[in-house]
Amino acid sequence: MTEPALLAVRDVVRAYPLPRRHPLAPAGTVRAVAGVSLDLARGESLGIVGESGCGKSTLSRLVTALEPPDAGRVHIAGHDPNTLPRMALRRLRRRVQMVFQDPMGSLDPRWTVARIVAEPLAGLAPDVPRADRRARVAEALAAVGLGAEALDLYPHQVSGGQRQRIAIARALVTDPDLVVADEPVSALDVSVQAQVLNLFLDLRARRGLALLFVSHDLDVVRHVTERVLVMVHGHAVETGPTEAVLSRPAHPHTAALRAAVPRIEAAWEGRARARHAGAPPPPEDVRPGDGCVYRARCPWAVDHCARAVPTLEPVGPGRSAACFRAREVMGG
Amino acid sequence: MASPRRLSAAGWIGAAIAAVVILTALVSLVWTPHDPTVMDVANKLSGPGAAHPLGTDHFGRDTLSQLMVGARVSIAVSVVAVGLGVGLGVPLGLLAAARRGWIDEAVMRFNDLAFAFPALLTAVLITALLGPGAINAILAIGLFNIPVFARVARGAALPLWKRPFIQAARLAGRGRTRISLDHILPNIAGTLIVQATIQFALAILAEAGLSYLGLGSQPPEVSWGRMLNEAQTFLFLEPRLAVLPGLAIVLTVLGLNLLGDGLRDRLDPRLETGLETRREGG
Ligand SMILES: Nc1ncnc2c1ncn2[C@@H]1O[C@H](COP(=O)(O)OP(=O)(O)OP(=O)(O)O)[C@@H](O)[C@H]1O
Ligand SMILES: [Mg+2]
Repeated sequence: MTEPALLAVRDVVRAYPLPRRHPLAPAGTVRAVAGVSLDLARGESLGIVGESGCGKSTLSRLVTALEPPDAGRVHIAGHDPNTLPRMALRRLRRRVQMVFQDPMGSLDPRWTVARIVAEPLAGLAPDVPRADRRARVAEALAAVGLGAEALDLYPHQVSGGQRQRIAIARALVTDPDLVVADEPVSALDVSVQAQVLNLFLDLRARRGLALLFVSHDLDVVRHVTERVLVMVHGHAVETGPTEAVLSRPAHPHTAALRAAVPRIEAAWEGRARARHAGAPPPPEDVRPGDGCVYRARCPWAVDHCARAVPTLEPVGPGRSAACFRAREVMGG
Repeated sequence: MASPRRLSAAGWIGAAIAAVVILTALVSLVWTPHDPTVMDVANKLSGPGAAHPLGTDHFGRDTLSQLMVGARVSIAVSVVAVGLGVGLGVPLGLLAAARRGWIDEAVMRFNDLAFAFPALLTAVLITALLGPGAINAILAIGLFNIPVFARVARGAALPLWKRPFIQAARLAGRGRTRISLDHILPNIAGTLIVQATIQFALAILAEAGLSYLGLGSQPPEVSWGRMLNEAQTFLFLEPRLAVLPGLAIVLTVLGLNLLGDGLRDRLDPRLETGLETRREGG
């Protein structure tokens, strides 16, 4: 029997209530993730790209079991974290860690670096004796290029790039198999971005880490990941080898995202919006079940796109796209 | 590294007043000029002088000694009453924020109920029912501090639960109780300290009010409220007897409020760094 895939996500859906426009309005929901599937093997890296609000962070929270999906399944090494008993979930959590979008916000301002990085050990690794924790923490910090002098500092006493390194060290300290990194560099200065990205590459090479790398920035994704998955309004619209997908997009949205490169707009809170033909419509205007979610903004849209929902179909070796005109998009 | 913001001048004045009152109360444990309960009818209603710096009351008891012991009673009652509020209210608020759902609903409805009663009137009712006395005054005042702290703790904790460092703690295998104690509590401590200072001032007022009505400390115990009560007979004859405890109450409450406001500015929760983190590390 073969070992189960490290990560298998099947048709996950996660909806949130929308704020009501007025008190009597019906309570609407936005499907932040609307049926996404993905697979990740040991040591593999997958980029998740898409514009702001397309559901990248929500998908990260589903994968790390911070939230349960409304429908669909998440399997980590063959286990569904959402049905596991507490102790087994802890064992699983040890193998899946996350680096959050906002390096300052993901570190408790009142904790020292040593305590922050040791937290996953304290919570997930009862076999590591308390006395060994500090050494393990120093090791993890060294792996991200920070010296022991950082141990007793508070997050506000170090630079933004160092904060992100601390967050990465925390994710590494339990020696996980999979790290989910949610826009790990978008809050950083461009000069620091390269350092942190190289750190990810280096860690992958040395530790055989599998990486789910979320970003709105195609350049960054191209640099770090082997495969990529493009999202629009909670849907996966294209997936395949990064280089092939980005050099010859099969979905109009991928093409539009690519046209926006190399603009790196490190905007407020790290949220950047790719330059794009038209901004994304407000979430309440995107309803499921009436045609392609992208058609309103799509230069390739035809009448058929309003009548049927395109599903992911193979368009090349290891590639698939959810567009009725994928062949033309690729060819043109 | 930004230098820590200072307490405002008003805050310092408040801190100084609070310090003087607390010090007075502590000194009264070991020393007062006279025994505040010993009557000396020969010297009754004597004005300030060498033997009695602030004079005596209608039984010849030393006013300064009474004020000193009164400070102790006021502080003791308020500390225990606010402690009761913190000790029960904060865990309730943390629990409501951590669990949400029906637990949150239950805690908040209990709060609404408690807030629907006028606090002092109900405290009067409670002490009237349970019988007058310092302990029952503590219970009555403490009871109304529970929902105050539950609400403040919950309100400060809720937005924290959405923060990434809490999600990181969950990923680190931490349960909700652990997170509430290790992450939430330290981060809302500033807000709680400010609230406690203000509640402390209110408790001192409430204790004085209850004692004035004869529902708090009973004779021969001494308290500022009782002194006011006993002084009203001689209000025109010897206004000093009413003015002095009144002044003590007003100054203490004012000082605590100044301190609370100063701390609020100093521990601005939006800055998210407080006393501990401000200690310079290197
Ligand atoms: N906890 C939540 N409650 C309500 N709505 C939410 C919540 N989290 C996300 N959403 C909504 O779900 C949609 C997707 O959000 P998500 O944060 O996953 O997007 P994103 O791709 O990570 O965007 P960004 O690039 O800005 O980080 C958005 O419309 C957002 O408003
Ligand atoms: Mg996001």
